[in-house]
Formats: sequence, C-alpha cells, structure tokens
Amino acid sequence: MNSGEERHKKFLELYSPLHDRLTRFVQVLIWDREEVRDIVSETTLTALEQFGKVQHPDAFLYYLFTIARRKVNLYITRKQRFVPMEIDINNEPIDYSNGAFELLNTKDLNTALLKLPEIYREPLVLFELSGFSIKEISGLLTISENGIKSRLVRARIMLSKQLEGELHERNAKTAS
Amino acid sequence: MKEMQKQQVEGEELEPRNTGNVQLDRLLNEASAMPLAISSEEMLRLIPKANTSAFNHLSNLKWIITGSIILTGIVLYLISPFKKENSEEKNKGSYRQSTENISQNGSQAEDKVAVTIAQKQSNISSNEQKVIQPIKSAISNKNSIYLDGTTTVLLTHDDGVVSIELNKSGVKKIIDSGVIVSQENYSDYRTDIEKAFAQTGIKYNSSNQKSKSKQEELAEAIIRGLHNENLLLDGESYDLSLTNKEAILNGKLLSEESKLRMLTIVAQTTGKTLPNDGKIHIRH
Repeated sequence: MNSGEERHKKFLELYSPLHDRLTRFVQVLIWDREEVRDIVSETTLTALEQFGKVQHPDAFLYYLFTIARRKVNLYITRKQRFVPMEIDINNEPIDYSNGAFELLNTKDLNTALLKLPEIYREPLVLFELSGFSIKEISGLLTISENGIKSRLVRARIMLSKQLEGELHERNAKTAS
Repeated sequence: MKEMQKQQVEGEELEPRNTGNVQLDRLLNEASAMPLAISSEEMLRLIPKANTSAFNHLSNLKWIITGSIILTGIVLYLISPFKKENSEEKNKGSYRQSTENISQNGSQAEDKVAVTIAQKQSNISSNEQKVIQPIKSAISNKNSIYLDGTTTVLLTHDDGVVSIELNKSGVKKIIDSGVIVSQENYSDYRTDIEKAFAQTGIKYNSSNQKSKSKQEELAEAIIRGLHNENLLLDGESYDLSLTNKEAILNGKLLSEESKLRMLTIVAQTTGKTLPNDGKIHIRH
C-alpha cells in the first residue's frame, strides 16, 4: 500500500463517523438539498486534498468543521437577504399555550436560524443538531466553554423570539 | 423563556434539544431526524474518485518536481567537466591560476569566514597577465592573510611624490607627500589615478563588491546545506574543502551524495558549476 492509499484510508476512518454530523450541520442552515450536497462534497474534498495538514486525529473534527463553517457562512453571506435581527432578549415571555406554534415546521426553523447573528447561530446548530459537546464547540470556535454556554442560552431565546416573529408574519399574510 | 433563562442563572448543564420551549424542542428534534441530503455511502463513493484524480495528481506532481530537480543537478554536474575539457583543448597551455581569499566579517568578530576559490581560467589577454604580478607576489608573502590584489604606485611630481594604493575595487588610499588625502579630494588626483591604473594594468571593476557579497552568499548557502544535511551542528567550527572530486569536512571525506548536494548548491547559488579544477574552501 503506497502512502497515498494509506492517507486515503486514514481519511475515511476519520471522516465516516463525522459524516452525519457534518451533513446535518449544513442542511439545517442551507435548506436547498442540492446546495447541501454540493457544500458537503466540497467540504469533504477540500478536507481530503489538504489532509496532510492534520497533525493529530483528534484535530480532524475541528479541521473538517472549520472548512464546513467557512463554506456555509460564505454561502449564507451570498444568499442573505435579511438584515440580522436585533432582539431584546429581556422582552416579555412568549405565550406558547395557544397552540399556534405547532403550525411551525422545519423550514421555519431554517428561516429563523438564518436570521440569527452568526455568533449565536453556529454554536446553536453545532450543539442542538450536530452533536457537538460544549467543549468541542469551544475548541472549534476558540471561545471559552462558559462563553459558549452563555451564547447557547441567548441563542435559544433569540431563536424562540424569531420563530414567534415568523408566526406573526405568517398570520399577518394569512389575514391580508 | 423563563426556563431557558433559569438554566443560565442556575448554571445547569445544557442538554441538546432540551431548551425549555416545547415547540422549539419539537422543531429541533424534527430537524435532527430529517433524512440526510447526502448519505454516508454516497459520499464515500465520491471520495475514492477524488482520490484517483486530485490526490494522485498532487502525488504525481510532487514526483515530477523532485525528479526534475535531481535531473537538473545531475545534468549541471555532468555538463561542467565536458565544457572545461573542450575549452582546455582549444587553449592548450594558455591559462592562469589565480587565488582570491576573501574575508567575511559577520556581526561578530569570531564569525570571520575565509572563503578561498581557486579557479582555472583560459584565454588571457596580455593585459590580464600583467595584473597577475602583484597578486602572485602577494600570494608568496605568507604573512598576508587576505589577499585582494592591492598594489601601490608611486608617481613623482615636481612638488612631491604621490603614492596611490589601488586594486580592482578602486583607489584605497592616496598619500601626497606624506599626507593622506581624504576621499572627497580624490577628484583632484584624477590624472594620477588614471596613470596608476594604466601602469599596473588593473582594471577597475565596480561590480567587485557585488561579487564579493555573492561569495559570502555562497558560503552561507553551503553552510546552510551542511546544517540541513545534519553534517554540521549549530556553533560547530568547520573546515570544508569542496572540489568536483571530493568534499572534505573537518578532515572527513563526505559521501558522494553529500558532495553532489554541495555542488548543486554551488551551481544554484552562483548560476554556474564549479570549474573542473575549482576548489571552494570555507572555514570558521
């Protein structure tokens, strides 16, 4: 087995367990499935081409997701039509008891996520959907674990608010 | 919302998709259960294709570049003796041998490096042969450590004697009737200087300083090469003698491979191969 084959085999060993997490991270932010396929493929191929840079297997997770984050954020920036929201998280709590929230679906979640500032959106998606631990997110984003926890709590509140906004917007459209 | 803020306030451990907002948890759970846009199997099928194209391409490229460098080194090495032999046949017996010792002063006095390059040349004009005289006399003087072909010319005038010390780099010193002339007044002695150069046959070479620094550069490149080859440790003193036939470092004969690397460094740094009888001597 030559060095190229060995490297390829090593890459597959490290990549395979992370594929689902990577795809989920991408697809919750990029709704278009074709775009998701493209971004996941590009990420994987970039990671493979520059695999020699990875000094330690433990670093592969961060290496792979750093590439993915860059590609996803670039895509979002290009496609972004919304001004990032400014939410006062000390607003009055939302009333979930009326059942209106049940009308929301995963597309609404995607829309709401894209309206969150990147610094909240990324840790939230990594934690809630890509199975990252707080320690791993801290390593990836190079922010302290407490900082990540704080961002996650704020991100959850902001996302709830944003979903409420989505609901109001939909109701307004229906009424008109 | 209150539940979320409570988690933060109380420092509870956060759990994925347990936000305290039932509807948000539901959406997050649905999103995490969504089928993947690209399955693991499909992605793994794509990777081997990439391996055969991009990966092999890179790997091949690496070998091509490495091969080219080695081939260039070998060709340069092989060409040099042929070139030399041809010119020797054309100019039988007409050659001179000159030796230049150049001192290199680094930032510290102990870093002085002496580089000796002995070079055999052909096609000498009669003028150049005249130049050899001061150099040869300097070589015979064993007290001279660094020889740069400096010579002194005495010009007698009605009002005194002008002594001009010069070499290829230009005028080193002018003494007019025992008084050292400052450099800004050298223009007053223009005629004398021209006469002195004409008498000695020394040709002013403005690029001499440049070539000196090239030799310093060569010495540094060779030393770097020795460090890279792990033949020399940092701070270790060295005495390297390099010819086309052999490389001797601190009295030890280096391997053929190391010698070739050193010769390649010479070729790369100077842009030409070491002449057949050429010798490089570096010591510290």
